[in-house]
Parts: sequence; C-alpha cells; structure tokens
Amino acid sequence: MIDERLEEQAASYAFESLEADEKASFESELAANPELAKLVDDLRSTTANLAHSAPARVPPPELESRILRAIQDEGRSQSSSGMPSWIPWALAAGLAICCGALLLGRTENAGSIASLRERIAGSEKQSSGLAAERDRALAAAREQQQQTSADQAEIARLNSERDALTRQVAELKQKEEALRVQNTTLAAKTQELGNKVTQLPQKSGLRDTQVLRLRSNMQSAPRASATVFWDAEKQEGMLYTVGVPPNGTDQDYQLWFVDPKFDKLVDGGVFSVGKDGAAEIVFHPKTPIASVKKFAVSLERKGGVSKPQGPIVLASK
Amino acid sequence: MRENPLSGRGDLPTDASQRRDGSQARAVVDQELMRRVVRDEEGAFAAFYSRLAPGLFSVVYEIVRDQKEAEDVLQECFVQMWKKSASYEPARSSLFTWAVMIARHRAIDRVRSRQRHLRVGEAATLEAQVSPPTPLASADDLAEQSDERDRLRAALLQLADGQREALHLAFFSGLTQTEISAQLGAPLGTVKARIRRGLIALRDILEAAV
Repeated sequence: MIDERLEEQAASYAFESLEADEKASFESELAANPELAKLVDDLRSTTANLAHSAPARVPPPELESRILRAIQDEGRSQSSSGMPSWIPWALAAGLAICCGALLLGRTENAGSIASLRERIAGSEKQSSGLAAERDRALAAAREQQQQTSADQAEIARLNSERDALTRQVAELKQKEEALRVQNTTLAAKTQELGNKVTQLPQKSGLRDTQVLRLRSNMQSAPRASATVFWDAEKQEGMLYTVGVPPNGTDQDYQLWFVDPKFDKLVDGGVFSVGKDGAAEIVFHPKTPIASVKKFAVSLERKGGVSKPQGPIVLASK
Repeated sequence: MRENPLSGRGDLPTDASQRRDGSQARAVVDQELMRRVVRDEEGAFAAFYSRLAPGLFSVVYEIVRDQKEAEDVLQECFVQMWKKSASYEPARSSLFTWAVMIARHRAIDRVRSRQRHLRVGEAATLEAQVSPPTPLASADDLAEQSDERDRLRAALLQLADGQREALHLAFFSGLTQTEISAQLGAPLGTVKARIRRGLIALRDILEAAV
C-alpha cells in the first residue's frame, strides 16, 4: 500500500526535486518496495511525456556533425589517456645527459675556432665562383616550384573530390541505416499481425470463417494487402490492411462484396488508413449476403458512394 | 484510422490499438538501436541522433531559452548518453523517457549555473550574449511527433488549471518546489499536492488513452 506521503515523494522524485536527506531515505524505501518502484517508473515516464508540451523546434543541421565530432574526440581522449608514469622521468633523464655533453663540447670547440677562421678566408675566394652556380640552381628551383604549384592544385582538386565522395558515402550509410530501422519496424509489425491472424478465429468466435486475401492493384504500393475474415452466418467480418497508402482527408476507402445473387457490388462500408498503412475493422454488409465470391476495396470520396466510382485498389482472386 | 463507421461495436477497431502496436514496434526498434550504439556499430549513433535530437532540442530550448546554450546542452546530452548507453535499462523506461530525463537534468543545471553567474553581477554581459530565438519547427518536422503532442495536449486539458500550471513549472522552470510555491503565491503543501495529483491524473488519462 502506498500512502499519500509516499506518492508525494514519488512525484517529487520523478521531477528530481527531493532534498538530499529526503532523497536518501526515499531511495532506501524504494529499494525495498517493488510497488513503489513501479509507481516511480510510471511517474518518470509520465513526467518525460511533458516534454511533448514544449513548442517543437528543430536543431540546426550542422549541430549533428559537431556532436559526432565531439563524440569521436571523446573516444580518442579516452583511448589515449593511459600514458605510463615512467615516460616523464625518462624524458628528464635524457635531457640531463644532453646538457652534460654540450658543456664538454664547448671547451673543445674554442681551439677549433682559429683554424676554422683560416678555412673561411679560403672559402670566400671560392664563393664568387659558387655564386654563378647558385644563380643557376635558383632558376632550376623556381621552375620546380611552378611545377609543384600545379601539382598542389591537382592535389587540392582530388582532395575536394574525395571529400565529396566521403560525404556521399556518409549520406548513403545514413539512408541505409534509416531503411534498416524501417525494416525492423515492419518486421515487428508483420510478426504482430501474424500472431493476430493466427489467434483471430478463437478470439472473435468466427469458427466457420471464410478467409480471403486481397492483393494490391496499385502501382505505387504493389506490396499493399488486406486479409478478410467473413462469417456468413453472423453476417459479420473483419478486415486487416498492411502497407496501404493513407487516404486523403477528403477520401475514404470503401469495401465491396461480390455476391452472384446481385447484379451489382454490395456496399460493405467505408474506412480510413493512417500513416502506418494499417487498419483493422469489423464490418457488416448493408444488404444480407448469401455467398461471397470476392471482396474488393475502392478509393472513393469521403463518406463513400452507392456503387464504385474510384479505382479498385485491392481485390481478392 | 480516424473512425470506424462499419463497426457495430464501439470497442473495435480503435486508434488505441494501433497506437499500442506502434509503441510496441517502437520499443523493439529502440532496443535494437541501443544495442547497436553500445556496440559502436557504424551509423548507429547517427540514427540515434535523428531519432531523439528534435524532441530533446525542443525541451532543452524551452528550459534554457537561448539558441547557443540549447545547442551546447544538446551536445553535452548526446556525449553523456553515448558514455552511458551501456547502462540503459529498457525494462525500466523507454528510450525517450531515459533521454528526456538526461536532457532536462542537463538543461536545468545550465540554467542554475547561469543564475549563479547573474547573482555575482554579470547580468548585463549575459543579457548581451543571449542569442535570438530559434525558429519553430515546420509542419513536416512536426508530423512525426504530432500524435504524441495531440495526445498529451488533450490529456493536459483534462487537468485542473492549478495542476497544469504546477506541472509545467516543475518540469520546465528548474525551480524548486519552494520557489514554485513563492512564484504562485500558494502554500508549499498545496503546490506539492497539485504536483502529486496532477501527475497521477495525467498518468491515468494517458494510460486510459492507450
């Protein structure tokens, strides 16, 4: 039994507004009381539903790539954070050895400076000859630089092409992912409908039921279908649709019986199909039906018509 | 399906049965999606983002009331959800509930942090930094969420005005119940009772609708 005080605490807990001391005692109660835990889960779910009362806004398109980059950076920083602790000490020791070697070298170099000065004087004489050679080398370098610029432009163009292809690949992968999610949804629905179809005769009491499958005549939705369960004795039937396009606000789908006793189709009533392509209805004929040869569904104006005027979109064999 | 003029019985078929089918299918998809996010499969996080970002951004914006801050908070939320994805328990809550709770918590933290700064005299600077509001979503953006929104709007209209107001402040304002009591000029006990009764009534109405 949950009293009002606990209910009040559960509601505050769902809004994360319990004070720290009250929260601690409530959480120990929660751990020992499954009924209270269920209430808290329910209230949290209800609280989350309040999110739907916020005016709908869309995040800017570039935010997605920014977040994906942040997550990649996060992943990299996590994988590189384990630097061994001996590395800074090894670096310090290496630097100390280098400093010692430089100090020794300084003393030896003082003697060499004098002889080097003599060699520099000799080299200066040779430098004028080398200047001409340098000019020739500079000209060759300029030529090479021009070639390099052309190569760089080509590399930039190829990089840009590669980036465009990478973006295309990413878009295709996203589409593939969306399709995969859609497939999973459809598979789950198909499974549910399969279960319903299996259980239907027992559940509905339709024992001697005629079962007919209606196939699509629509080029735009070739996989749309419907299943009809018809109990002639009760003059009652059930219709399930799968993958049927939603009708417009000024339209209705209309079900028709084909009974050889009548020279025209018999009205079975109108129905609507939502965005998920599924409908499930119980129907009764407007006129008593002796035997059904076929069922058909047409797309008509809102409210239906006395005989089919719109296209026949589904029909049994 | 909007109505069933064929049915001789009032209980068949209903919007509710289709909604139930839809929510079960969505739960299967959410579970599969989280399994793939946890395994860090390619493309899984992008799908996860597409599924949750619009709803979460709307909530976060409503709380922080600033475009740039809302973007920053949304980024923090997704990084946090990515880190915590392995701890998500589908048996305890839907993916939507889990994500909204994280987003709301982050957004309220941001508002409280901003208020602390305001208290130490940076009001003028922060006021100048507040960016212009983001545009509302288009009709196409809303289409997917419209069923849930309509259902919640209808449910909220069945609550007493005081309960509706208390729930809105408790969810979006980031105020404590004591602060809400001061803002509404009502005793704290009354505010707590309105929140409790309103939330339980809302749960019952939403459940009955399903």
